[in-house]
Amino acid sequence: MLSLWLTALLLLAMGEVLLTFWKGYNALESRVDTEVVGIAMERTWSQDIHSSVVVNLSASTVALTLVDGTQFRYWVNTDGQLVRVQNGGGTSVLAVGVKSIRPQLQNGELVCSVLFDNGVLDLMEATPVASILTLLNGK
Amino acid sequence: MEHIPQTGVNADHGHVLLSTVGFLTVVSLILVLLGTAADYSFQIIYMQSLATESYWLAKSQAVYALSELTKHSTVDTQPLTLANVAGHEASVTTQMTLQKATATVTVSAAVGTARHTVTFSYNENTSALVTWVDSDVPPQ
Repeated sequence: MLSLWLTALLLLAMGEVLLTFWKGYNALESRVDTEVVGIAMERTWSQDIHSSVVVNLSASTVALTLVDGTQFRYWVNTDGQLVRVQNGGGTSVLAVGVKSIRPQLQNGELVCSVLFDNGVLDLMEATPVASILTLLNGK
Repeated sequence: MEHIPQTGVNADHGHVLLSTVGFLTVVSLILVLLGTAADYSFQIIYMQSLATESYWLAKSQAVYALSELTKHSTVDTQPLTLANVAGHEASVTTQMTLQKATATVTVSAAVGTARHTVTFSYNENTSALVTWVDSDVPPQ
């Protein structure tokens, strides 16, 4: 009878260890996936911001006018996709599994926090060339 | 015949030993998986830090070049070599081509496997920036 109890206890402990490992592995995998999506998103988005001469922000959308005149708008659609829409046509998806974005301008730098569905918060910072020109011209 | 209860080391015919070994095998396999996943994420973070280093080198040199261009209409094209940036030798090169009144400057920075190029054009007659392109793809 005692050995039965001990076996049950041992199995329970083993099960708990395996479950913990499994949860940890899944959390890590999800985190890494989101990290990769975030890097890809930042790559495109920051390159757009860097060449922007006009930045227009609302609570959850970003509108950029690039130095060559191209205009882009960024927002999260109902499917949880962060989309980049070019004025006059052309939509691309920058990231998936996005809950919300919160863009802000801080000292000429565009700081945008991107919250993903799995709770990961990605902080993106990029300086539009407009701010550099302002600095150089001493205005 | 009277039943004699088994005692001693082999009382369970080695079942406990077997299941312990099996459990430890499963646990070590999981640890290997976790380690591999962690290794991947470290690699991603390391590559990203190299990319960030090369970005800032290219960007700061480009801002310097733009500043020179607006003030003195010329650009310092001396290549820079930095002995140690994140454990790598880094190089920054600046090139300028002048076409009519438009100066096109290409600044390229390389740190390890990462590189970043900033290309911009500046029209000196209108004192306006015409293009500004960031790229982590090496220039053709």
